[in-house]
Order: sequence, then structure tokens, then C-alpha cells
Amino acid sequence: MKFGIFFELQVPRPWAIGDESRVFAEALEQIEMADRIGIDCAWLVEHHFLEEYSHSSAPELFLAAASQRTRRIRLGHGIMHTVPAINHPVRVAERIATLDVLSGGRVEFGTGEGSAAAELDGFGVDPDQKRAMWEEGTRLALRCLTEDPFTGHVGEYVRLAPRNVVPKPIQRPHPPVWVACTRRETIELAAAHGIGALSFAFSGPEEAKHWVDDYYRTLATTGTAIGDAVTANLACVTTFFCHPDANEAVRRGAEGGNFLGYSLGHYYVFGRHRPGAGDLWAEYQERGAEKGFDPEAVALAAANSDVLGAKAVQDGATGLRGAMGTPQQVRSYLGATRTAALTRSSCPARPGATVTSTSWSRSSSSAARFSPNSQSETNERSTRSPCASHR
Amino acid sequence: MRLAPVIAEVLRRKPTEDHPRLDADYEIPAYPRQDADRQESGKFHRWLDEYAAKIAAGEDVSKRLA
Repeated sequence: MKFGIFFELQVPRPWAIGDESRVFAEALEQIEMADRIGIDCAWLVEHHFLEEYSHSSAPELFLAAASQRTRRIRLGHGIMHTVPAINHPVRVAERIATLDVLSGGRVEFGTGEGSAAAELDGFGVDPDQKRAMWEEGTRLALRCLTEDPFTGHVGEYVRLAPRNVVPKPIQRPHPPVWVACTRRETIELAAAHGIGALSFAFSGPEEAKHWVDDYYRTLATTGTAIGDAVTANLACVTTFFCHPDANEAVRRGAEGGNFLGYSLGHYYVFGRHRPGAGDLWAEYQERGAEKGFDPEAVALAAANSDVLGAKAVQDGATGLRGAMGTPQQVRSYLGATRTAALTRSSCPARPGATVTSTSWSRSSSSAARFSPNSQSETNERSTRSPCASHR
Repeated sequence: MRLAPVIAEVLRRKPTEDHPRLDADYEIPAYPRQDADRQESGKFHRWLDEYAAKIAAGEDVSKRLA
């Protein structure tokens, strides 16, 4: 069972000078603590133009800072856009390798194509072609990480002359690779390419069980490695808030989790975003109040139950509820994931500004990569992994 | 100190209108909202509005997102 901490770097309005600095500094402090207490991985998103929802537009810089403050925790791109129009494959490889060198081989290479109009249209990416762009960009970035020298490429979206891309990563042949998944189809895409599935569906253990079964079935039957190694893992993100007082856990956790959901929905589902204008946080509070959301009532309902199947949770009043509650309640929730043959990792964030989340992964033969052991041991195991193959 | 007037002049030479103005009504609709616009579907717009209200109120939409 592996645990992670996941950051969006949310900065709700109204903004004051220094807010972004404070959010970034606090997130770094949380990663330092996560490193000390044994959390396995810190994941950071890459988003562009998504005001309030995520100000994490240069995660490689943030993770580089984190790499110098930590010794053990793995550093995950959750995810880096690998559509060439957003991040050129050579630059992707250079940044991944540099971070791997700086961190002593602790990088998790999450990839993705993006799905918000604000981002794709902002970079002139045709949404109908983004999947093909992701595939070509990711495949190329992995070649740049491993080939010595890179032998050139003429493709649909990228044309590259033979060059030796340096530096090379410490983790050979390359760091573990993941792809962002929001639906079953992309879970199967991950398995089909022999890479980890980083699910952002915020689904519970019951739904995830089906996804996990699909993933490993596809991996076993049709999986073909896109890189030179296989990352046979599935991770899921969920909200998380733990407090000795269940009332307090849900009160704080629900507010933050609901804002995550609302701000995400604004950009991906229902919003009409006006750049540099609006106030998502105020809109969220106003709309929730109109609909009758009462944080105190939710907290009271949760306090009157003994497990995470709280009345408030059963009624769905805590939105992206995940694991919010007392240590015993959270333990019960994680136990359900174990029953579903999953392992799970959790990721905090402050309500409103960031959101506590959780991710799951399943043990596999490539899980040696996640070992908190020394780098030499990790490298040795990686190269011995039956999932790792060399060109 | 001697550079101060030079810097002021360098800044003064910069055209005041070197970028396009943003239309007051410029907006970026999310893809589903764009679909509703294209279809001129009042029903779809109402569904999206209701979805927004539900998620703001904390109603569990995770299954729909999945």
C-alpha cells in the first residue's frame, strides 16, 4: 500500500499580494513533512490559465524546489502535458531527466493530454487530435530519455533531427510512466501502453474495483510497452481529511472538497470563464447556499455516525467525499479499498486553497521503483525487474 | 543614477497600444457549454446549470464525472 500527497496549488479569490507565495511555501512545507512521516510520493499537476483552480503551471520548478528540501519522498508529475504544442518532447525529456538527477532518481513521469477548453484552445490544440498528439509526444519524450543518441523522428506533429538529449535520468531506462485517466477508456489506454493509470475520477472503492480489473486484464492481454519499461500500477485520487473530531473533519474537508469539484466543473463542464475576471470562490459559496448547502449541518450529520458511511456521506452531501473523518473512519475507508484488492495513498490539501486527496496503487513486480530504499538499491531492483526491458 | 533618464526614455518609446484589446464579452465556455451553445439547447444549458448548483452544494457527482 503506497500513499501519496497531491497538489493543485489552488488560490481562491479574492487575491492579495503574497497569496501565491504563501500557498507555494505551505505546500513545500507539507511535502517536507510528508517526506519525514513516510508518505511515498508528492504529486503536482500541470495546469495553465485555470485561475483559482490551479496555479501550478510550472511543476518542474516546484518539484525541483521540493527535491532540495526532501531526501526520500518520490516526486510525481501528476501530470505533465505531453502534447507537443504545449510541451515539446525534447523539453519534456530534458526536464524529467534534470529533475531525476537533482532528486537522486525520485521522479514519477505522469503524462496527459489535457481536456479543458481554456488550456487546449489556449495553446491552439485541436481536441479531436489531442490523443494522437499525446501518443506521439510521450513516445518521443521516452525515446529522448533513453536513446544515446536519439536517432531522429519525422511524425505527424513533430519533426526532430538526430541529437543526443542530455542529461539522462538516473533511473534507467527511464522513470516510471503514468497517464492521467478520467474514465474507463483511458484506464484501458494506460494498460494498453504498459504504463500506470493515474485516475482522477474520484471514485470509491466499489467503482474502482471494476477499473482495476479492467486495467490488469488489458495489461495482460494486449499491453505493449510505449517506453522501455512497464509501470504496472493504478493510482486513484480522492479527497482526504483526518481529524480526531469527525464533525471537524467533515466540516473542513467538505468545504475544500466541494470547492475542488466546483472549480474543476467550472473549467471542464459548465463554466463560461472570463480571463482575469470573476470570483470562483464567491460564486461557489453563493451557489451552494442557494442550493441549501449548510456546512454546519453536514458536519453535525457526520458526527452522529460511527463510520465513513455517515448519514451525510450516504446522502452525498459531502460531494467528492473520499476519506474524511476520524482516524478510525479513515482506516475503515482504506480497509474497503483493501477488500477491493487495491492499495491506496493519500494526498492532503487545505480546504479552499488546496484539497486533501488520496491515490491508490497496486503492488506489482515493478513496485520496486517505489521503494524508499537508497537509490543504488532502487536502481538495482529496477534493472532486475522483469518488467524492465532494454533496447 | 545617470541611467535613470535613459530608462525613462526607453519606456516612453514603447507604444502604448502594442497589444490587442480584449473584448468586454470575451469568455471561454467549457466544452460541454460550447456544445449546448451550438445545439441551442435550453435543456442542455439548464442541465449544466443544475449540475453546477449541485456540485456547489456538495451533492455527490463523482459517479457522473466517472
